[in-house]
Amino acid sequence: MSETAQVSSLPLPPMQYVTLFSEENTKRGRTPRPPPPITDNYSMFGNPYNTDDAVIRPLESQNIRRLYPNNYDHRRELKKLNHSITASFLDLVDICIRNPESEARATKIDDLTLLFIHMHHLVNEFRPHQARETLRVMLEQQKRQRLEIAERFRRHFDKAWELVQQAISTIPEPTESNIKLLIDIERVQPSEGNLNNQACGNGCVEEDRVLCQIIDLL
Amino acid sequence: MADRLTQLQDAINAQADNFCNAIGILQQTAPPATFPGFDRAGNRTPQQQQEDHASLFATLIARCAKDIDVLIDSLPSEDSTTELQIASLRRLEEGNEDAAARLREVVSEGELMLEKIQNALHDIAQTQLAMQSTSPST
Repeated sequence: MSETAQVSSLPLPPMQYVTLFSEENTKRGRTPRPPPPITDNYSMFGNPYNTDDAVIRPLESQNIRRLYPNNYDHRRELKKLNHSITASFLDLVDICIRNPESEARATKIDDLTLLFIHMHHLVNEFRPHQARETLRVMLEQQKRQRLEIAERFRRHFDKAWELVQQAISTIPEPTESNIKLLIDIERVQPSEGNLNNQACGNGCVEEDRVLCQIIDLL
Repeated sequence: MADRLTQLQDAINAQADNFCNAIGILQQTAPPATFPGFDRAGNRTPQQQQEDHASLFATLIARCAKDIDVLIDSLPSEDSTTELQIASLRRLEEGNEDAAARLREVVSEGELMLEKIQNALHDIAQTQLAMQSTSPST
């Protein structure tokens, strides 16, 4: 839907605003500030809005006659409206048959309009409920996912820990032949309490001393 | 497949369309009526061989009204009120925060172990290098 050969259906970018954000301006910090949040009244696409409006459901008693009592059950009222609409249509057709030019026809059409508006209003009143419900379901899903991930992570963690422990336990005991090598290694890098080094570090030093003593005695 | 509210809205609009179309088409395709008591011989019978728009539209409108009824029935009742919803949202949020804390804890443990293992591997690699440098024949 953007640019065809002749006419673009989209408005042009606001060049006089865009040029204010040139390179130098951004570097010098002289770009215009973002617009402040709007309070109170504003108009959008020609309709006046107010930030204090009851979130999604402005009261019907603004412009239109109200047909249902104050505390009502949405579903029952919706059903009654549905039946009223069908009956009203029948009446309209009747009027058209008998006396098409009477003003009763216009009245009937107005009635139908009112009924339809009511129906849409009642359906819209369900929307915040739906939004909260969606939010609730999303939160539940998120919580379930987090717990699942934590669970799986813990399982992998335990498996990895087991593997490492196994590997440590299968390290061959230092025998006479490889003691010298271990001594050299100890000199090469000072151990800082790492797993492996700790496991063989202390053991090496101990058995190293013992074997040295044995060799000295020989 | 839109959600129930959107379906309901669409059904209501479809019903309105049905009304308008019904009246419009019936009016356009209506054969001329006879005057009572003004007997003209001949064409009294309206041509019923043409598509019977009247009954078609009647069926459509009735069916649409039934659909709207069914959709209305499927909506949630007044039991789950706003307060209930808000309360359950709050509970869920706390539960979510707990789950997040647990996850964070597990992840940090994992990261710690990862670091240790990486250090160990680093040491092993250095050891091997040292071994190779001290005994180049092996």
